[in-house]
Amino acid sequence: MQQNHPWNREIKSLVASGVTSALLTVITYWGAISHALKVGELVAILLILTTIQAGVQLVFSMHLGIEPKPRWNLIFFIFTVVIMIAVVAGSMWIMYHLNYNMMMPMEKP
Amino acid sequence: MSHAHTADYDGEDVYAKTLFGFWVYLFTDFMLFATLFATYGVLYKSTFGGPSGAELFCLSYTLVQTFFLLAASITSGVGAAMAHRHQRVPTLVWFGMTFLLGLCFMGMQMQEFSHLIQTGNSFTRSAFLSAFFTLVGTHTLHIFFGLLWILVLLFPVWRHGLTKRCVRRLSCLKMFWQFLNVLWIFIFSIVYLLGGTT
Repeated sequence: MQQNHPWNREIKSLVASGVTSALLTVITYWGAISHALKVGELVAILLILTTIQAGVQLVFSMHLGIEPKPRWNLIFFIFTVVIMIAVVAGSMWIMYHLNYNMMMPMEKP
Repeated sequence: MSHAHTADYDGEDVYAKTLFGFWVYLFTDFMLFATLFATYGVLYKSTFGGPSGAELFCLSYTLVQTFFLLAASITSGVGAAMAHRHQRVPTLVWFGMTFLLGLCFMGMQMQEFSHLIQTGNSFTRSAFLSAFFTLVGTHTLHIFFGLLWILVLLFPVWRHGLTKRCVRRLSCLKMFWQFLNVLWIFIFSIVYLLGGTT
């Protein structure tokens, strides 16, 4: 383990991950408070930037997917992401249409 | 460290298996938070005549919090790297920094919660606030246990030095803090930034 991950490389990848995360955090914050974007665009951009930031931290800080085969961590992770998207998107989709059909006021974001 | 070469069962194999087991735990925790995010996504407009996120959140305050947690995640990574090099004092110092940064984060979060409750906007006010307190409160609870865990693991390192078992446990602890930061950036973007500006 230590031979494969020398200390210097570990620190470098931590710093790279930290700097990228800090930059992305500042960009998302600025994008949100500047009110320069429409709501739909803002939602899309925030989701994309946050997903990139999460990916950077998972790979460069937590070393997800950087492991010898068989990559069980990565397989479990992909499965988890599929379930999470199904749960979150499915719930919101169902409840939005339920509210819509019940004539409850809930404007689309 | 003399302990590093004692003949115990703590080989590379156990290390890899333990870390894989910890990943699986983290994935189940991801799913827990996915359900809480789903609840929040369904209920965030249901303010029942009460205030919405835009009226409640102070975004610059939360930005400071976000940087505290990011710093905690990085210092825990450096701490674990020091532990792998069997450097006892730097390990203690870096994880000690993680503890302090995490404590600042949690203090700010408790301050925000108590401000909300004192101004009459507790979790009983509306479905939106119930979902908000459940999601962010569960994250804060994880932070609390992360802080406890640092103390529990650092004590034997301080008393007896860095055994292989300690290094393995500190690697899990590091992953836990980095996981908490990954979760938080989603809470920050979706709950605070989107809720606070739209």
